[in-house]
Amino acid sequence: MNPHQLKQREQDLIQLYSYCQLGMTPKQFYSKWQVNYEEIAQICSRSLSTVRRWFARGKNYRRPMPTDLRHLALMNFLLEHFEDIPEELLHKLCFPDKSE
Amino acid sequence: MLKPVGYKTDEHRAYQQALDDFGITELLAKLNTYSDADFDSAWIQPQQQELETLAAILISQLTHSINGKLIANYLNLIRHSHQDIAPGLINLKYPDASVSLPVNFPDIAKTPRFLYGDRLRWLSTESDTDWGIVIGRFYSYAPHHCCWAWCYLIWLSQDSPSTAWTSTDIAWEEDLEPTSEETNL
Repeated sequence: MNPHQLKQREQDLIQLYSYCQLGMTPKQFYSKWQVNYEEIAQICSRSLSTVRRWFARGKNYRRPMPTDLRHLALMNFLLEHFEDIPEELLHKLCFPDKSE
Repeated sequence: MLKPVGYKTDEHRAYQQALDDFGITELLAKLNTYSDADFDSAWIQPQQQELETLAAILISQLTHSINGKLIANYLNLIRHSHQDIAPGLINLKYPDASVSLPVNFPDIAKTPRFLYGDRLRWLSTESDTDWGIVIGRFYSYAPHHCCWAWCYLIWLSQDSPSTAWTSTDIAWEEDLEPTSEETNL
């Protein structure tokens, strides 16, 4: 299978994605949705020990990585717009193996 | 699981009172509105978490730079009931906050405390802290110290609480300690 050739549309989308500022902090997510630390850890594929430090104060506080902020922003987007996504697209997003 | 933050609990009120009593609320407010030739908060628009980190660093710097002359002068002023303690007595030194890799890396880097294969756990007061085995490390900028430090990639033990949804995680060297427990890695 040959890879798709990039046209202007694809190049524009790659630029848009590369420089996208989509991000949400753990505290913003935690205050918006009634989740616990374990669920935040699952969303970000992190350990519970790491997530606890995102919420710690003072010298125990550690900053999440940019990928963590992206994970939470995407989860927030899905939680808000889940019903607006067409079923066919949703299957491709959540069950990519079965969609092919 | 940890309970959600209760903003109106007695514990929170006591915490807020402590922030007020020790001048941290005032410091945060000043940082949030500060403006001079080198720093203009209206332009920079620092976030709350950034302000808190900044306040913590400044207080930490004061702790490290304190000396006997400074303590004696302040104590003298306090004992003689002087209300206007001269702020000029405090002389802070700024840390090197450059996020660029130090030019003399790796010579300047401290020798890593842990080796591949070491069994470590996250330092915590919680009983269900995670643990595992070191499978990698990298040198990275630690924003909580404004300096570079070692970070470790940990392969979680099968008995570690978070292994149900992830097999690895990373942690700063200072957040880890050797574990003597016999674990099924």
